[in-house]
This record gives sequence, C-alpha cells and structure tokens, in this order.
Amino acid sequence: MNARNPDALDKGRIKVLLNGEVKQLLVDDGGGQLLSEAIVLWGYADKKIAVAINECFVLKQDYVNTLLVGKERIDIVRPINGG
Amino acid sequence: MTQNTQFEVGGEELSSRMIIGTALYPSPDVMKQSIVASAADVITVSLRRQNPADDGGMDFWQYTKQLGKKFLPNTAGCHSVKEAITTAQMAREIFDTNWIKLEVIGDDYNLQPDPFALLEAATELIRQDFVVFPYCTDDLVLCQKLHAAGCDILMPWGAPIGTGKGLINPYALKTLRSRLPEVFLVIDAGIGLPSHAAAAMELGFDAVMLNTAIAQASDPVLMAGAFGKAIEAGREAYLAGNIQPREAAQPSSPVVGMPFWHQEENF
Repeated sequence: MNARNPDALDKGRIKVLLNGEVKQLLVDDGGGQLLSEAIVLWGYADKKIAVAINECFVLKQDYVNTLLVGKERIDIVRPINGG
Repeated sequence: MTQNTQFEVGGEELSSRMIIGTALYPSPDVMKQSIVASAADVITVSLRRQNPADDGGMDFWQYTKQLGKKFLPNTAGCHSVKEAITTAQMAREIFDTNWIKLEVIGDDYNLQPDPFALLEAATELIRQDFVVFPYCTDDLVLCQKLHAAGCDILMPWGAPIGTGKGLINPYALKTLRSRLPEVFLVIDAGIGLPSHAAAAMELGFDAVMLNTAIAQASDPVLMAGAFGKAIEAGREAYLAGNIQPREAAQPSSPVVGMPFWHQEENF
C-alpha cells in the first residue's frame, strides 16, 4: 500500500470510477496522478469536455493542480442535443 | 410590418420569440434545417457522459456552433440541487455562457419539476452569476418566489414534457401573466400544435420553447416554419388587443341602409 494513500490498490496503482467504470491509474511518488495527466491518458486531450469529481465541478485551469489519489468518482461530460 | 422587433433577455438582444431544442430530430441535417426554418435565435443543448472513443460530442459541438445561435444549456435529468448546480457549472464552461435552463425533476412519471429543489438551486446559481431560466410549473406562488430569488425569466410548462397536449391550464397561465407583468415568460413543454403556441402568445407570454412538436413531426422543417408564423401571429394579436367575447350575436355589416328593411310597413 502506498504510504500517503491508504486507498491505493498496491504500490504504484490507484483505482477511480470514470463515468461509472472502474479505471486504474499508475501513481507517482506523490501517491496520486494529476487530473490533467489522466485526461490525456484517457484520450480526452482534444475533446470539448467538462469534469466533476465526486459531484463537484473542477475548473479547467485546476486540472493541473488536482491530484487523484484513489476512489474518486469522476464524471466527464460532453455537449449533446437537448430540449 | 411585423411587431417582433428586437428585445433584450438575459443581457442579450434577440429578435425571435421561439426557443428551439436540438433533440429528437431524425438526423443532424434535419435538425439544422429546422432550426434555420424556425428563425429562432436561441437553441437548447445538454451534457452527457463522454466516452473518449466517441466523437459524437465534438461533431455535435461543431455542427451547432456553425449555426451561430445563442446556446441555452439545460440541466435535464437532474433530480437534486447538487446535481443541477454541478451540471450548470459544467455547462457554463463547455458552452461559454452563464445562461442555464434549470430543470430539477421531482416526478419521473410526468417529469414535473420539484418546486422546492428548483427554488434552492435557482437561488444558489443566481448567487454564482448565472442567468437562470427555470423550468417550472404554472403555480403562482412558486413563480413569485423564483422571481423574488432573482429569476427575471420563467419557463412554466404548458403541459408535461413531450405530451403535446397544449395549454392544459390557461387560467393559471393567464394569472401568471397578469401577476408577473415584468417577468419574461416562456411557455416550456407540452406544446403540440402551432395553434397552442399562438394561444400562449395571445395570452401575453413573451416566447415559446419547442422541441418534440417540431423534431417529431412528419416534416420537422415545415413544422418549424409553421410554429414561427404562429408565434409571430400570436404576438401581434396580443399587441393588437382582442375584442371581448359576448353572448349575443352582433352584426358586423351596418344595419342602417339595409335594402328591404321594413319594406312592407312603409309601403
């Protein structure tokens, strides 16, 4: 287990829920992974998206300061048709 | 000459009194043609989870962006204050607008808004500098409280979403118009026919929001144009001032000078 993050799966990995699906992330020495890095890893880099973690909105400029440490519920949304 | 001149809503100059939705069309091309035919200035849009392998979000974004319309994002599907507020915040970032069509559903069967959660969410979003377009019922007290909370625009339903029943409670709607004269009132939901939209405008409503009635018509483009004409006609009728209904017939042609009148008595 990671010393900083007791929710880590094992050394070097954490688990999060992305749009309802379990995802594993490699973590650095800080015990987590930056949201900005995870977004690139998941293929959202060039997409028109917005993000909420645990139902709280995260501003785009805060992605680089937001550390995922495990067990977060992440919602990434896109524009769609609506009435 | 049309009476539908420019007016200001939520800090924006508009000229059309129709707000049109972007859902349920048979194809993106039909959606685009219908929006053009409607001449609406404002289109409603939404947010859903994005699978990175799916480029649908980008396609929709680019497609609608080209239309040059003002976006009115909604919080459709939200059932709690927190969900609605977070969705509004995400919509503000994606669509680059502080307008939000606030929907907080209280009953899944008829998609009736939860008035208590709606008021709470509206109050918080206004505090966060949103321009809130609350989808509400036609309840006078709720509408008064939303207005007191800072909503200068209200979107009461004509009937439950997608039913096409028209204005099921004209008395309540007429009451809203007379009691909230300074509020920009938009009929949202339940409209099925252009005549329903015209009736709403004749009551003095300021605009009509449409989606299903256009998108699911046999010919959405033709129906969009029909609604545009009906809304304009209803608005002009309201401005023109209608006659008061009466019980007894009254001839429209002059009586004086009628040939054969009392002919036999005067012979």
